[in-house]
Amino acid sequence: VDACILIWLAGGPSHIDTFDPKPDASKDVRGEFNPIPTSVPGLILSEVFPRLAKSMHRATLVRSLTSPEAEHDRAAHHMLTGYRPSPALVYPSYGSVVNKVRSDVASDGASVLPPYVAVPDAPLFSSSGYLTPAYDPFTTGGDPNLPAFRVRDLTPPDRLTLERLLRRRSMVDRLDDFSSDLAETPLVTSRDQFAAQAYDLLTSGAAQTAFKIQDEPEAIRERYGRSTLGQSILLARRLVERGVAFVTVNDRGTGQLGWDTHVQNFPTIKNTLAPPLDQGVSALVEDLTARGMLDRTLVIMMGEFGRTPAINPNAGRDHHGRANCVLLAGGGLPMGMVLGKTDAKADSPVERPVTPADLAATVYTLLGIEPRSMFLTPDRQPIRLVDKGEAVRELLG
Amino acid sequence: VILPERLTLRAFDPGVQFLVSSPGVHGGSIDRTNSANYRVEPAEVATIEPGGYLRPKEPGQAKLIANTPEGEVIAQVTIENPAESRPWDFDAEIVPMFSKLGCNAGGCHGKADGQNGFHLSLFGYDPEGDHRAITRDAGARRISTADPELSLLILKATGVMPHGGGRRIVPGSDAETMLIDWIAAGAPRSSTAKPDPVVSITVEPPVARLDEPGKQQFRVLARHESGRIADVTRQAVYKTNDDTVADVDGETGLATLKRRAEADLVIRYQSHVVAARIATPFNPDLSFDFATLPRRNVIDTELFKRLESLKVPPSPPASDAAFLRRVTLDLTGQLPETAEIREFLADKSPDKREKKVDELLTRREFSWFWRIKFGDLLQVSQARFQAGAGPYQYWLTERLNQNAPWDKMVRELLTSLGDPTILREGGPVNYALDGESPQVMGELAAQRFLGLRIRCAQCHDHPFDLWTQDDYYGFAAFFAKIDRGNSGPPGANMGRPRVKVNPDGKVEHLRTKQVVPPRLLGGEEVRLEKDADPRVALADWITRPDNPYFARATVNWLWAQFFGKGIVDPPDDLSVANPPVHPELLGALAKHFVEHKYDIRDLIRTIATSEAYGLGSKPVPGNEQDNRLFSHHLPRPLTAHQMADALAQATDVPNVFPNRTSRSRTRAIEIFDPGTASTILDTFGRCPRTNGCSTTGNPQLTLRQALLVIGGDVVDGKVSHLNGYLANMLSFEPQPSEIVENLYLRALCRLPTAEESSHWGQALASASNPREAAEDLFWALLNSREFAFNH
Repeated sequence: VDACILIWLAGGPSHIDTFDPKPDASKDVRGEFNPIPTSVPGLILSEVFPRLAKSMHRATLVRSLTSPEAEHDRAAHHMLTGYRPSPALVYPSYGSVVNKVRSDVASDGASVLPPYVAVPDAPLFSSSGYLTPAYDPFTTGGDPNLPAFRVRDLTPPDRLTLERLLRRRSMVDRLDDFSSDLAETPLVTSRDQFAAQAYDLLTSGAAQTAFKIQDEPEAIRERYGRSTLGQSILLARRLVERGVAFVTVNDRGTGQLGWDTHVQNFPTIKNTLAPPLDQGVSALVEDLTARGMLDRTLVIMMGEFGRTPAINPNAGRDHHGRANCVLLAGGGLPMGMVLGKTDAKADSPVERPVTPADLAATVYTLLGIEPRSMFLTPDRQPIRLVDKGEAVRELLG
Repeated sequence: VILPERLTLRAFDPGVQFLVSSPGVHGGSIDRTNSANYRVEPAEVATIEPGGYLRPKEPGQAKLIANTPEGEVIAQVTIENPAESRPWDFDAEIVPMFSKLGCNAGGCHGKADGQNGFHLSLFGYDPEGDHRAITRDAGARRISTADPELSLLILKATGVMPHGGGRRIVPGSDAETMLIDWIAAGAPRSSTAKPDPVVSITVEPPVARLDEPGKQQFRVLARHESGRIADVTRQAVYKTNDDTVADVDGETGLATLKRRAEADLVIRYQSHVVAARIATPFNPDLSFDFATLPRRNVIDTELFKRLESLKVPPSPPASDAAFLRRVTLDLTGQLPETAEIREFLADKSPDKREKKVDELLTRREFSWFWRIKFGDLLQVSQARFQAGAGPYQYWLTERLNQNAPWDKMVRELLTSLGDPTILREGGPVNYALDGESPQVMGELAAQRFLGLRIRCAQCHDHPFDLWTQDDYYGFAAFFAKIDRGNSGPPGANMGRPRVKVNPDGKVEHLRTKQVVPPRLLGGEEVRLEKDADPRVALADWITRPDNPYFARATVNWLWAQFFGKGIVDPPDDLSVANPPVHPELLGALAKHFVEHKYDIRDLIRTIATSEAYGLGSKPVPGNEQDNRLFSHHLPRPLTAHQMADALAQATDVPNVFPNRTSRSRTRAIEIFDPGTASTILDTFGRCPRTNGCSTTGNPQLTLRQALLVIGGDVVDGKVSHLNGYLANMLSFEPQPSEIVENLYLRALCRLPTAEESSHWGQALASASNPREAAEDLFWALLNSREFAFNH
């Protein structure tokens, strides 16, 4: 598998109202949505995902993810790193680990693009943790849905032509040759490398093109949906197609944690949160399939936790770590599969519980990274990439 | 020479490591322990292994004779047969074996929930629990006193039965024999009426000075409470701090120095840790006259002594221009002005560097810049202290302006009570609100003021340091009586927070669930009246002149501000396992700091006027490989505030900050709260002061930084600004050579060399668009290595 796209549903989506409907539960649990059939016989989803329902035969749904964490930051750390949070250490996110592993083996012909990109910004704990910040995600910023979208600092000011930038670069090289008194310590070399990478990004047509979502045909842009989320997902595909190893798309809805529906859960999901997601993710799966990229691209969609089966007095649902859903697609995973199930109220898994550590072991295995590899913290303490987790065999085929 | 020369052993002791050495020709020694030929006379009494490890066999007197190229050396060995049977001590004999074999490591049975139902305490911090786990848990099926050899513990550890950890013990080894004997004896916790715990360990030699890279045997001795000294060389755990320089055999304590360098070894036995050092002269044939080096103060005396002993030449002093730029950046966060550079270069007085330091210390920029460093250390920010941040910042600024002694400042922080939001008195009260629990407060105080990381000891004894869980909770207990005042009756004090003493505040030990009395690091318990603030006693101890950590941690932190790394590095980790590279220098500088009454400006002056700080950054033959000894100045990336101000200063185009007009020409060093938005400060890694950040060492480099200065508007916009320096200069229609000289002075704070001057002068003269060419040169200077680093 060459690449991974992680769509992060910030705030924690209600699993009952999306991927784990319980039509037979009482009204105070099942909520306001009706189930709909999908392209997988016997599999139902909530009515809020009509388009995704038609793509489920290409996806794998895990309905039994479970974690003791039910606070946003702690749960996000658990889901994005595979480790429960520790006061002593922040663990590295999936993308940072991929970034490190790819950088360690990178050859000269490697893409000039950063291996780990966040669109449009990075969720908390999608950082490099105890690894060096060099493996943090490169965030695009901005809104890919805006006509004038561009990545800050990645496109030089208009007055600075390519020719002039190249001339300046050669002048810098000359200056550095002159001041050879400066010892070439690892820090000096490291700065040179970042500068070289920056010049490459700024002067390479391929790199400039990679972020230029405006070059996508109009029909494709429409298919992903003219929303920030839809175009972010499209940009993710565009980057992965051009060699980026890991893209995190942060779906914040309309706020910081849009999926945190303590209040007015149902209209918020139905009118605001679900439609752009339904459109964008179904488009991604179709598009990757059409381009023959699905097998080589792993798609993960999840939030920090599920939400309570009980509906609170504000017509909302509250944090619920015991049950959560993860939608997976591509990466050679079995298609049309549903793994695990929750009890009648969607409160806890009753079959094949999967922990975030199990998920991490699975994802790393799919990405060709040994989950038992050891990494060193800055104070040289060895830490296993995944602890207390086993890759889910049913998913590895 | 043989060590020990005389020795008494008990017949059941496991064995003793001898050391045999000869003097070298380069002032070091040659370890013969592994090359000597040994024999014991008479041979029935003891056996000797080729590596110099002697095992007792039966009572009697014997000679150990070691044959070396320099002749024979002899040790006298007495083996006793004490009347009583072999005493057992599970804590001192069996638990260390689990550490040595890795059984109780974090990846195995030492994990919080154990491994396959068998849990040992991490690195053996809870011998009582370990003893229970082995002898009683799981239906007591792990051992069989009737058939010790068939105990599950033995069968698993030797790999006879399937074991996830594989074979940890070789059948027939010392470890197996000892375990079986212990089980056969009934697997006691302690078989004597009075336990005799180990109180300390030592290593021999503490510093091995070898003539050449090669092998060095170490021996480790444990001192028991009764005064008995036991050889634990084969029971201790070894690790090297730099495996590119030295290896150590974890079984035997035999180290190998791989190249001409120096490395530290860390040795652990039970909860005791000790460090040893192994080194060779780096350049054995160096001819360098160390005697003529100027020694301006205690720093130079100690540093040059060390460099001489390791035969590492220091680089010659930095040029005047490089020194001026370096010291101005370090003291004020700014670049020197062009006129100032010219004046300094022209000044012929021999003490001009000292005078410059003295003058810089009086500038307001000095206070601005250093309040950022101290603010980072204390994490003063609106994000953490809300309404208290203003008073806290005010207090910090005032104290730095007054050059308040550091011990007085720390005492104020540790003991102030009252309303943290009152401007004049409230500032230091905020310190009491910094951590949400006594535990966190203890961790923060230990780390900030003492350079100690005690957090590991919250859950288990610190694996690579002295600190036990008892130390941790005892230290936290000093903060147990802080009443944060948030839970008072609403309206009673108008909702204002008020920090006061809560006589009932307490801290419980995680394992024993007992209320823990305040206990100083190192063991001394403190008895106090119920309504006293224990923090006063803590402040008394921390600021005592003989406190072993406070002054050392402070001078090391300050040193790191000037050198990019500490004498102990990382600088906030003064653990036994992380020894200082120059112990004498650290000790002498700490002593100086105490003697000068914790005077921060004096300490800064001492460092900044030392010959050591003024060394050039260009290596000379013999110190090219050194990045540890401070033989030359290592380039440091500009910090966020330095970078932002340097760009503004060089170009005469100020940075713009929220709620400040560009006409106010606000400098980055005036922006002390990270809540004030600034792309350049964030990109270049200013400390967010939310949840800790390294306040020492070098800033992190990132791709984002490179993109900002290369692709962004930050540099290009300033260079081409219509009211900027370049536009103004060009309006005077200067000659190309003048342009080059001025731009070099602005950006790099030095004059161009003749070669640089002619190269760029010609480039400008032949350019079709002279303005563009000058902009390009200015831009390139601001994007050069030399600009990006403090060197």
